[in-house]
Amino acid sequence: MKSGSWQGKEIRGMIRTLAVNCAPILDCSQDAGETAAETASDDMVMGAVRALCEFSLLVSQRNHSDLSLAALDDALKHIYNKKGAFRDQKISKSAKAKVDELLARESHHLQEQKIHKIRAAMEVQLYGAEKVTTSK
Amino acid sequence: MRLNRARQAATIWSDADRQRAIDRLEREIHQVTPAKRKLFDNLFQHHERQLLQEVGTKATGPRSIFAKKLAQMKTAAEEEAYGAANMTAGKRVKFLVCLSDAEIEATTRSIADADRVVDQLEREIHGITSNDQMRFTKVLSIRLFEFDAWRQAIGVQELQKTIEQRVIHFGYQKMHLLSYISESIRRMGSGNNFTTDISEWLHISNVKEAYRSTNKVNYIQQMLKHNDRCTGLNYMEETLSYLALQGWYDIDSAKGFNLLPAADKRRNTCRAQLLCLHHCLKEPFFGPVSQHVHHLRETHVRGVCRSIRLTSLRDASVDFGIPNFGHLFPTQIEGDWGHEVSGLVLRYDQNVLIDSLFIKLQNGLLYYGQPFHCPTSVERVGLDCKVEYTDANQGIMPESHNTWVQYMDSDLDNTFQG
Repeated sequence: MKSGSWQGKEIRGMIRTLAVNCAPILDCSQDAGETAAETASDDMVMGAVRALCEFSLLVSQRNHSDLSLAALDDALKHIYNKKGAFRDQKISKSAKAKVDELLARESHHLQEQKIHKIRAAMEVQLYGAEKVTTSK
Repeated sequence: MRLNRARQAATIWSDADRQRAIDRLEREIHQVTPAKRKLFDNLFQHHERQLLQEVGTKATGPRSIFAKKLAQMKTAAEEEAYGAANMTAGKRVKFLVCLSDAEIEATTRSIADADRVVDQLEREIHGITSNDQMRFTKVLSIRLFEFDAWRQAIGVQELQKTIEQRVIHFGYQKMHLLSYISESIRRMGSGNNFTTDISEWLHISNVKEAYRSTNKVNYIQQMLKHNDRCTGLNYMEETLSYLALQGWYDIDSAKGFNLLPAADKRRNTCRAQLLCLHHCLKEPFFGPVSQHVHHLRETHVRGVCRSIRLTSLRDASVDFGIPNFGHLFPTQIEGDWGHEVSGLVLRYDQNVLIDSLFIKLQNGLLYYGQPFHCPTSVERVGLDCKVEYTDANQGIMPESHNTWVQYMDSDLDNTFQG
């Protein structure tokens, strides 16, 4: 959104277009053949948009009460819980490369650790605790 | 010693096995033919020779510039030999994951050689039978197979999600600042500066509309008065909205917000109000003021609050939670209505009520307000109430004149610098 001069209605304008701007990342789960993951993703996106709108409207109130502040905290909690839906939009080439590298490395570590745990647990069954302590 | 020798031999075997696995994976994933492999080797050797000529006798350690450039050359040679289409990110990840699997497989296989020595040693030292060891191996292989199936189905996806959450996050300072807004409002009042709407519209609501409402003569005073009235109306409107949300609204405000239930709507028809008026005329709600009130030495207010009961200023200060209510109330009466009315209501010694007051508590709760016309001052509004009826004001102001009285307890948080 481009604005030449601030007129005091830009934030409201941005909020109006927020849901429309998020439309391309929805999975259109209202159509047939949607999966549970797609439905959950759409719920997350629209929930985050709604929480952001509520937060913005509440924070711009001139007077506040315990009720409005509780609603403000609630909206903020919703934003934090659902902002992960936009993670795919934020991913860059370097971040993806880093994720891939970490995945390859930690997958190896995960497998090693898990195999070691399984083996150790079975050794306890076979030899008893004495074997484990002496081997360590 | 036998175990160490076996492990050493197994490690040597695993390195060779790992190299074989890499070659096999490259063939499978990048579709490397022997001709392409030869092309890659030739290209890489060519680049390496060029680099050695450029670098000369400089340091060639693993962390040196030479090593970094060599790695870049290798990548470039790979792309030239195998083609960019074969080096997509997905294939790269698949290659790395398969390589880690192959490494584990190679290590496991090499460890298996060492394990045979271990088994033999254990049989000799711990006295474990071969049947137990066979059963152990069988159960272990089943468990490992189950784990591998889990890892392929769920484990890698979960791990990828966890890593993505760790690497790609929204930990900006601006996002973190959102969590402090609520606490900031509780401590210092509403943050009108969080939005530009209010400040950008001020010259319209406070100047343009105010000027248009004047008769263009002494317009500054009229504009100030207009702004003052608008501020009061805004407070009133917001308080009514809040009370309507809480369920604390009277019939008039509920009518304004169209929140009346059907029974109340029927009760507020013209006919019903006429019937009520006749009933009130027959049995007036406010009886004649007793002469004893004039002689009370304690300030008494006939008030109605949440509990709908009569209260004194002292009890009201306890009930409303405002310690200096008894002092604030006469001051506010004088400030709003002037000394003449104040004298009539409170008598000139400011201690004894000459007349009875009917104070209707609108909002007994604390809320926080910051006047938009003065953003650096913070008010903590303690009480809103409405003087609905006095015997004294009948001759001075019309009966329908209701005044909103706001008692401000602003000595707490007035150090905020915007």
